[in-house]
Amino acid sequence: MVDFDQLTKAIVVGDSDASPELTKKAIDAGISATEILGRGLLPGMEIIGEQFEKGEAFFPELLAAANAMKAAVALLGPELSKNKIPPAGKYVIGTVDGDAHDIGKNIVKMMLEQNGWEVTDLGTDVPTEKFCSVIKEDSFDILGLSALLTITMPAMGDVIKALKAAGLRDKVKVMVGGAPVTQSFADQIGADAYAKDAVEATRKAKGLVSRKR
Amino acid sequence: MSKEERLGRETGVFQSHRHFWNNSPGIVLCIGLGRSGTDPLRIRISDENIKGEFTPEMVDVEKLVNDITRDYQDRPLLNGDVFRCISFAGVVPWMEAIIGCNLYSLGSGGASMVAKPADMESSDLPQHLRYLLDNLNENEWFKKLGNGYQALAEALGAKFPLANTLMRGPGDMVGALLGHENFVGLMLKPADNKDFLNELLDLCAKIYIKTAKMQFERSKGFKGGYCNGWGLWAPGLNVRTQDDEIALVSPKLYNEFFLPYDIQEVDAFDYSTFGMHSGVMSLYNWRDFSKKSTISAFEVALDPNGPAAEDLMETFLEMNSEKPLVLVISNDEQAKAVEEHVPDFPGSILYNEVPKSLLGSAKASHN
Repeated sequence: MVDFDQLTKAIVVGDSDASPELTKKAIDAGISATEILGRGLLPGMEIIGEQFEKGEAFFPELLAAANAMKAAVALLGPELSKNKIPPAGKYVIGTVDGDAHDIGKNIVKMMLEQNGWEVTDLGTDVPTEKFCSVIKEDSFDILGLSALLTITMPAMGDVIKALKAAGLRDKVKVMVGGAPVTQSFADQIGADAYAKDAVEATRKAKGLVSRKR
Repeated sequence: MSKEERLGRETGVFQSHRHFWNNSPGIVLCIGLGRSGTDPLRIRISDENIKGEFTPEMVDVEKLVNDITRDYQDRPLLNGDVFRCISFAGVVPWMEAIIGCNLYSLGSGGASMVAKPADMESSDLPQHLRYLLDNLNENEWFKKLGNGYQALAEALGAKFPLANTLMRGPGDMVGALLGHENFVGLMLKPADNKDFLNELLDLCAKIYIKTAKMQFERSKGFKGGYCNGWGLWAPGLNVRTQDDEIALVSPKLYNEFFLPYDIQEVDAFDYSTFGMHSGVMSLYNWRDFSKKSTISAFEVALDPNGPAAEDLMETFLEMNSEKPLVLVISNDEQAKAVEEHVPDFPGSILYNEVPKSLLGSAKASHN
């Protein structure tokens, strides 16, 4: 019998040995990838996310949970593609022009990926034009902009203006975040959402996409 | 203000700073709104859009010191209740550069620099740092920093105090060397990595101490003491440390890995201030730190996206009952909360005035 609670617990405690082991047992028992994800793995990421938001867990616990999730999902890979399970959404992310800080962006990327998102990472110090060309050439649900410096925050507004000027603004939702960024700044530049941390980013991304669809 | 009045005011400021370090009740110091000196290197990076790898040869000490001297020649010594002090080329992440990270300048957009992990195998890092510690005087970045402070002291040292450059603590130094996520990943497997990480942290703490002391020697002090970056004078060696890597660890990992080296570092100086951020759950460490070290003061930068200042007041008052407190305010709501609670603080505090034009906006600078 497959114990989904055990699998969920393995993710929450970041046990990268137990999570693939229990996932393998579930696969061998004929449980579908969708069910393993939905009943075992994703609830674990949700629990650790909630603990993080309450200040009961910290970044290392998030990282450990994400690693445990990654180890389990690697086993589901063939099954997931065979059953054509669609990603939660397509997300493109980057740190804005003039800013090379990447840790916040990387944490958001990690959390999104472990929650089923397909994420394209444009890296750091990304020119405004690059964001526009990527949105023009491909189809993404959400564009995430990150900045750590007060002096580079305005580049987030520049990206939104450039998207409008190129007639691309309605093609994608824009989320912003980073240490100096606030909800009022996000409102001021016309972003669709602001997230204070990676867990909130994941939750808000889900909300934005469900509204869009 | 007459010369006598000015001297009287300055004498009073020295006295109030002595009281600050004693955490005397009722000492409330303000950093004024006077324009700070601008870093001419930051301006050059912006004006000339200098992008890409940044090396020690790109720091022209003579030119920078001439620019700083010109910039400071007519400035008053005091800025509110603190001294206007000078650092050398603050745009350069000196600590990361000295230990072997590669620096990249971001050009006019950010006019800042980032440090990328060192180009070497992790297993070679202890040997690299051991050699560096024994041979710091040969390190090009270390020499450049020393030359900068020496030249600044000769040009301006009698008129203005010099403050150390931004001193990143051992956690930040090791995080920069290894890459931040890699560092946290290694901490999560202590059975395999504890000795390795402890050695890196220990070596970085020792390099920090030597680098800070070198700057004190070169800057020669000011009126029998030294100023930190906030313009707070103390009658002895006076460092300010920032270890933002704390945001990435849990209290358990902090106590296990960081705390012994933060203690080692602050205990090497007569006066020390430890900078923290309010927005990234990093305020948890102050009690242990306070109990186990000779830390003199805590500093909290109130992040615009962090908890409301009002919600942090209880913590601030508790901290202040043990140590003097520096509060770095960045918006209207924070300024209002701090000012309302000024009479409640049991010890000494220092905070910054916020320009009216910036009230309500996210102004916090972040290094």
